[in-house]
Amino acid sequence: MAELNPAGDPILEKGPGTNGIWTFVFIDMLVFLMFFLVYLSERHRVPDIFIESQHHLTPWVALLSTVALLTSSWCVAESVHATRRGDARAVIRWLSFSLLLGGVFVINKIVEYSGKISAGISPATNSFFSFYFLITGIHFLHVCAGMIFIAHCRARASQETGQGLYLKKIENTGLFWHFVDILWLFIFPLLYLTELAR
Amino acid sequence: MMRRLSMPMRIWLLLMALTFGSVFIAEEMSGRQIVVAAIFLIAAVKAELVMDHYMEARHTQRHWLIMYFIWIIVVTLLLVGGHGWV
Repeated sequence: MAELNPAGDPILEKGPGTNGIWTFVFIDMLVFLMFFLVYLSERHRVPDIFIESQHHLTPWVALLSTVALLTSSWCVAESVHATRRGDARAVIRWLSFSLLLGGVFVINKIVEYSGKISAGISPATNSFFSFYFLITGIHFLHVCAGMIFIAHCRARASQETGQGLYLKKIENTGLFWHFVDILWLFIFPLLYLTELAR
Repeated sequence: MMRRLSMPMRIWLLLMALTFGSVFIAEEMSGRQIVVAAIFLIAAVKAELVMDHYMEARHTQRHWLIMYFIWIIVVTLLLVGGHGWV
């Protein structure tokens, strides 16, 4: 924070992001905690359906999504550092990469969903696929929302880089994007990896 | 050479190694319960790395740091326990 705060601007002295985004993200995290809890409860009720259904998922497709999201998170972290240096060109460059990688995640997920639907698998197939479409679908919407925020920050970078409020804006966007990443870090093994284990 | 890499890039390399490591463990190792515990523990370590180095949680207000850290622990215990480890 000190890099862009030589004058001791009070808005920049409270750490990354605003209190509002930390609160919002935490509430969202609690919602996903509930999803995981209900998923596991249903898995205990009908374990055979869950185990059989998980074999219809493709871990390598989800691995590509994981790599895209983690790499995108790295780019957003670099863009926050570039904002603190006041380097607008670097901000635009890093945010462009992160948008591109977010796009890879979105396309990958659409291809995955269409593959499932064309194979006759839908949320109505069984309780595992209800959770699969619900959890990954809500996460997918978070990714789309995050991309809109990133695109907004990218569009404003050349005019606003160097302003304290822009730093808060990009930090908030970054916090949301990293949270989306953290959710996926747990969704990936939960849905795609556990039944690979023998 | 590592000194020339930025901190976010070093963390990204670590996250990549952990990601591919968890897939390798899930595919190649035997002992289902240990493997399931291992892949969720790796996920927790990755989440902690993102939270600490990308979200910079240690620089925010202390109560957020504590609550976010507790969330990672609770989710990890829930997922490991929910798969029959406990």
